[in-house]
Amino acid sequence: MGWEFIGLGNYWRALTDSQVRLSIGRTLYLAGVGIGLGIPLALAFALILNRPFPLRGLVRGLLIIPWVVPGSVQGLLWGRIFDPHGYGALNGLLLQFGLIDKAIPWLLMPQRALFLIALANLWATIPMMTLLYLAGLQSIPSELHEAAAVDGAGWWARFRYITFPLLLPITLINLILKTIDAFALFDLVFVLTGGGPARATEVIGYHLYKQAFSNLEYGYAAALAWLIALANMALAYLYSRLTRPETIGT
Amino acid sequence: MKPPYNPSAMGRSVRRVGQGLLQTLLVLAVLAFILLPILWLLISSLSHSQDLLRIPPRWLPWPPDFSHYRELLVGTGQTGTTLTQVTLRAFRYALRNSFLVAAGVSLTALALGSLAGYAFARFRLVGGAQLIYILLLVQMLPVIVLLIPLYMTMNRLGMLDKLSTVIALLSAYHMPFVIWILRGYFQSIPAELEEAALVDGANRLQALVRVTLPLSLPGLFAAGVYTFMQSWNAFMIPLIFTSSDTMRTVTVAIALFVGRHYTEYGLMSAAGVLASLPPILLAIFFQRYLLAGLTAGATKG
Repeated sequence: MGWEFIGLGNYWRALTDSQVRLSIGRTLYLAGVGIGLGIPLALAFALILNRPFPLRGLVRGLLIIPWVVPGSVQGLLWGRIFDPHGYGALNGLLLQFGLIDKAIPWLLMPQRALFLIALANLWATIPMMTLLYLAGLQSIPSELHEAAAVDGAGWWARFRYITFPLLLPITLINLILKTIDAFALFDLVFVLTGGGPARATEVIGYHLYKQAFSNLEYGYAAALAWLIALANMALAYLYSRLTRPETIGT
Repeated sequence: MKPPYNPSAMGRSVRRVGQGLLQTLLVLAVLAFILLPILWLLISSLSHSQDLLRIPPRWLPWPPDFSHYRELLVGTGQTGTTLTQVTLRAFRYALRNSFLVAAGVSLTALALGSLAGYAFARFRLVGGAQLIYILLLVQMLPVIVLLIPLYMTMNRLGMLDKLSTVIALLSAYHMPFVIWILRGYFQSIPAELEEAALVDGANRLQALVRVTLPLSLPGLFAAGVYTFMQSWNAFMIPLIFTSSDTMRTVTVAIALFVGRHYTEYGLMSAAGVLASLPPILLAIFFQRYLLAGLTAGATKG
């Protein structure tokens, strides 16, 4: 097994490859959708589930389900919804209500496929975000709300000036976790689109897998892996600074 | 700003009913978001094959048709479908393999992780604080970035396509989390209890096994359930390190199933439901244990 030492050649190639740039762009797009839609949604869910109502324990128990469904089953599941032939639930609903008269091939359109992947991934990541927000909400002393209410602050003012600022650390944590999550995304893409159509959903995790295990470019893939690892280390470091201040600087 | 209002009893109760109604609607909306996608998978798995090829589909097929489950678990694969016996056989192997892998990983990670966690909790290790911190950072890496050198190594050692390799790799990957959780538990147990045992002539290991571990059962349990779920759901490692139908885990088998039998919607859906059941049941039943460990980090500090 002959090999040749090429110095930083693989790193240079990874940094200048346009496919790498495109897949990182797609990954950040996933994270962006996950943050832009996911954070408001998770916050709303947490606010709703934080109020007392009958069967609250049960509802919170069900909340965790999307988070534990295996990624490949998520791919199968969203395939049953976005099915291009009209047998899927989304086309079925639209046809049922007469909003369209011909099935739309959802996942076969490049500009739409990545957004649909982002939505599918959002479904799986909302539970954890919501649970973190719920934990955060419970740590806000109720006296703050009571005092503000006595001073005449309405629901929005209390949210704007108490809840939201006090949840900011959790929002940051969710932001970072969602970004790390986008870098790791693989199985959903593998099953739902296989990176297609025309590479439109080839996120960085999938790109790396392809380079290493279909194109067998181990050296190049390892260099790329290092670069991604560094980016993630930085994110993980930020995350740990936010969550575990007592372990830093010892 | 709330206008000053005249608190008549009737006004108040109308308002309360209105709020209750709004809250109920909002909770139902959350539930719909969470449950409808997985419900559609469940419905697909209980639909007659012909109903799944209608446009628009039959939303609520009645009576439910359990034939896909029967076919997957005990069928021979010769009921006039394109499905081969091979896929059915592979799926049953995969279910078994996933149980073996998930159980193997949880046991390995608990056995080794409790020793490491104990060391982190009780001994003054040089660089211990930094080390446990680095362990956690490593666990936040996407697993693919760790796999290339491991694959080349296992390939040279002739250890590809073995469940034991998958178990070893997944155990290593999940160990940091187990160590972290158990360290926390061990720290919460007073060292004096062990010291009493040491005075009575027990050695360190006996003190750990007889005194500290029994008191840490909730922590061991949470770490075990979490590891079981995570390794049941693992995809990348079993995908890369196994190649024969008898060694696949269920997550990988489903991915390949979808690729091979694209239109067998009912059967695929039933396979998906079966593969999701263990983690969903564990998560619902042991949620309290899991969440205590998982969300503690976010609220502390």
